[in-house]
Amino acid sequence: MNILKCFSVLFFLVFSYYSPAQVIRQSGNQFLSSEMLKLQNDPNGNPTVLWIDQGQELWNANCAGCHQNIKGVANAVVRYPVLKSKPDQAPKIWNIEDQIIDCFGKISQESLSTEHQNVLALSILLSDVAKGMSIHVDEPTNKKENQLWQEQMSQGAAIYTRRQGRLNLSCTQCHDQNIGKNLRSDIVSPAYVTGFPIYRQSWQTVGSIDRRLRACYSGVQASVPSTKSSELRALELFLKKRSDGMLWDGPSIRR
Amino acid sequence: MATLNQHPIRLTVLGTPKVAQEVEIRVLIGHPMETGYRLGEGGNDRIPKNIIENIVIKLNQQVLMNADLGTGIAANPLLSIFIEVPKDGGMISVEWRDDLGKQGRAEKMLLAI
Repeated sequence: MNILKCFSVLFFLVFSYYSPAQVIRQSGNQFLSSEMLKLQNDPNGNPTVLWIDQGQELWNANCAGCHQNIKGVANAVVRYPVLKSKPDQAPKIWNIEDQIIDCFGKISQESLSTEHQNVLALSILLSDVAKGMSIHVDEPTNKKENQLWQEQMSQGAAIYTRRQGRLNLSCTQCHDQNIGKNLRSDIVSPAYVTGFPIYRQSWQTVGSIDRRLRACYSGVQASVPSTKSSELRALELFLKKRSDGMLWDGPSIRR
Repeated sequence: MATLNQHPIRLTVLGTPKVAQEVEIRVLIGHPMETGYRLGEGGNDRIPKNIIENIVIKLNQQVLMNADLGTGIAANPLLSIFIEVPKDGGMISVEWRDDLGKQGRAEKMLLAI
């Protein structure tokens, strides 16, 4: 009897130590092949350094005059998307590229696309500076804005779980339920936004998160929303909020 | 807005440059390497071919590598060669030219220890 008691106490001690199954959130880098990871960590082979060089050139010429502290600006990379309202417009979700385009608009009076070379170069520079910062997407404190933000958030969650396209798949079916399995020759990674813009080898260039999400839409043969659309922003907001607390990886390389 | 250098280039020397030892010379060029086979926006016109036709790496004006690249090379090519460090080191230079007649160059001093 005494021995049994001893055992039960021992069992309790051993097993109570392990908490119930908890979700370990992994960045997409954990699912890269070793060669890709090597290329990504190699500053002399990684093609994104070319964009970083260009971004630095742009920063020195256009931005450094007003923004003295690049680290402070790069903090926006882990804080965005945010709800923002301009005086003559209804409030909407802005991501980092929108902010860069808006800033460029003040200098040159033209609205650039999210895939414009200057926009991507600057975005990638900021993303590189923000490497290692922890992602924190805060909700607005203003009550009215908070309500709008929550609406966008739930819209993003709805898109994430909605079946769509000719393949009739939702995001969650691959990126939650089948993580780590092969999709053709690629490994399905969880949908955490920890390193954008990305250099995709199939694109042979750098693309923004808009382009990446649109590629997912066309992958399941759904109708693809236009760039800068509120649908993409809502989805990005939801994905970024999911990644809250994770560390920013900086510009990434994918196949 | 400042006009960007459309074809950034990075020239790096990897390894310790001790005399008579091997170092790696790497060149990374920002270039679209357009094959000429792809179709444009409407699917009608071909995008004209624009690849780096020729690239030369020199050490003190002495040619180390002279390469004619083809359409099979991906965008933003990375080339690397291994050389033996000469006694007094020297100036490494890279020059390339593409189908549109654009040219680019980079230089780096190789100091031998």
